[in-house]
Amino acid sequence: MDVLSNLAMGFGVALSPVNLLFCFIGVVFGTIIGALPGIGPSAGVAILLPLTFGRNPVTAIIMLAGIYYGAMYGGTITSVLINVPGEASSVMTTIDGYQMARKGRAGVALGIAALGSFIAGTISQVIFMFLAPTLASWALSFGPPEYVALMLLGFTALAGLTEGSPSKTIIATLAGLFLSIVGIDIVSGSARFTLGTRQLLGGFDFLPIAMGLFGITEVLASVEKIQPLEIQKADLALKNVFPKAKDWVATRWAILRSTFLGFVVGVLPGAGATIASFLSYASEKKLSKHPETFGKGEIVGVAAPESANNAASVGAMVPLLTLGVPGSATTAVMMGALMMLGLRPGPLLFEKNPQFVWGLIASMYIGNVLLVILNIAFIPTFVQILRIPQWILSSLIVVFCVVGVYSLNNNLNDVWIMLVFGILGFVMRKLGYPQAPLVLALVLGSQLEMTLRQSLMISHGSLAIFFTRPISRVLIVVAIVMLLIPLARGIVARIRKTAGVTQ
Amino acid sequence: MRTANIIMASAITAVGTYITVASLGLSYYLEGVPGPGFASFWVGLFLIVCGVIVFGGLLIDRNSGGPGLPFIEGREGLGRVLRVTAGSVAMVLITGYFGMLIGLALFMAFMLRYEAKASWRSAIRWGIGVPLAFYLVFARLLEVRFPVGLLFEKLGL
Repeated sequence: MDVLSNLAMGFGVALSPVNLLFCFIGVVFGTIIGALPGIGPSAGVAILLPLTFGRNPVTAIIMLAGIYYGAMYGGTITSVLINVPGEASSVMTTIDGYQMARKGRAGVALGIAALGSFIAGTISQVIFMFLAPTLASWALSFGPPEYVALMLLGFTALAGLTEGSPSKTIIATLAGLFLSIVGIDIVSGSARFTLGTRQLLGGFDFLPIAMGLFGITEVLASVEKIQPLEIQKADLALKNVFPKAKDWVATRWAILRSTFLGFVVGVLPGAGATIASFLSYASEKKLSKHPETFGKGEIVGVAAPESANNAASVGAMVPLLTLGVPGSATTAVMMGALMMLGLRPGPLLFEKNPQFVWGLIASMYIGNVLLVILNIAFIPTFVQILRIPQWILSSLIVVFCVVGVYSLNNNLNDVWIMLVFGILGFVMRKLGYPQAPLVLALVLGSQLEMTLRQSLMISHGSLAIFFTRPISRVLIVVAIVMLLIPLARGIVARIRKTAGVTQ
Repeated sequence: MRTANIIMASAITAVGTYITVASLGLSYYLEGVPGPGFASFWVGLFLIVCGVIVFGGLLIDRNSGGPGLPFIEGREGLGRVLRVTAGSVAMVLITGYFGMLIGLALFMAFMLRYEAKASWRSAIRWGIGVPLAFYLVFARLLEVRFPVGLLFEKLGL
């Protein structure tokens, strides 16, 4: 009952004209960002963040969340019509979505993706609504050691769950931690790594680095390989987009299974929508009576990953709002944005700012309805956006980043910092160093240092405090396991390789 | 690519060493609590360890790090990346001297004319339209004060 009355209050907030407008702007931009190859939701949220300046935090988070889950919808358009994923979590959709388009079923592929996403999004929001307050009230019992353990788990999960070299992921995390250290130390007042400049005394702002690493890097990476997009011809009239009864029968259980899988994966730190879509595709293929149809235009191969990535995007909001620990790059950017707007995500949010939390939850329901309408009735409009020459889009992104970062402090130094990190991000990407852990560590770095100090103050300098408290002990053990996963993966791969050679 | 990987790993090790050494000049512990040098010491140390692991891996396995693969594919790709970077740097420099509107206008016109190979008319149209739109959204709606540039500041404009 409490939940329902809170939700009613949330709708009161979300349905205010300004919030409704920003929700609409968020989901429209989110769909466009999702549809445009190369720009992911984290880049989209970072680039469009300046539009929220001067707004209250509820309005800002409503728009940013709209961009996040809107991007999950938009990614399908390019996957199905161009055979290029709009963003990473739509990679699996490309496999069967494009094959469906080649068979003249592009409309149905887009329709089932949009409706599957809507169902997954709505169910996940219901779960979120009941789970989050419980988790938040449990998290109120967390002390500094638990937070240290939780943040360490977040960092190691990134190293354990992401593809590529774990050493490089850890290096990126350490780089982010180092950047968070730069500036005046709040305890001792000492200047740290400021290179004798006044500008660095206040430390690095999060926004120039995030916009550089996501926005400028994306532009440089996309102009390196400019490819004309060949859009598959498709009749996207409304009657061709709605799935037929047999399509529903084929996909209904896959959508439900992928929703729960996606939500759980989304809640886990470091996993996110991409892994959720991979797992759901793989599990549906395994469960299917006709696995041979996957990859040849199987509708379940579109419905499952799209439902999963949407559910994961809702799930990813759980650790952000209840624990104040983002589990993905996009939620890290959102957390940085909220901190800039003077709000500290965490368990106290539910007690101190119920209008913020429930306004966001209600806006997600509204956004989901807007998205399903947009992604069914207005697909041809979004396809037209894909026809805009890449040079124009790239130039506009650079201009947006420059103006946006400048607006932060009315300072051109921030723009220089953004450009430097844009180039650094491009080099990192080329060499396989992920940018997301850097941003995550930058956002959480000062909090980690502070809680570490508090923990050691409580224990009089003894590290045993992390192992004597049950929750932090479990979290630390899981963090260690996460760190060992890549090692175990490497050993298994080597054993398999050796076994293959001897056979 | 392999050479670039080796350079990067060396740079990381060097930066890690700098951070560790520099943090020795800051207090490690302060009244029983980690001091300002505590976190940076460990960050630097772990950076050295990870840098050495990556570097060592590249030395042990000669096929790792993408041997023979170019850092940027093709001269054209490299040219485009350099031109966008140079264009962005020029835009910020111009903004500092002549103001943001002129910086944005010249950047858009340059990108459209020389990279998108658009006609002069189209380049000028975008060069005027985009700064105007940004001015309306940011300067008017969001009340951001656009820089007018040193030159115009001196002229009192």
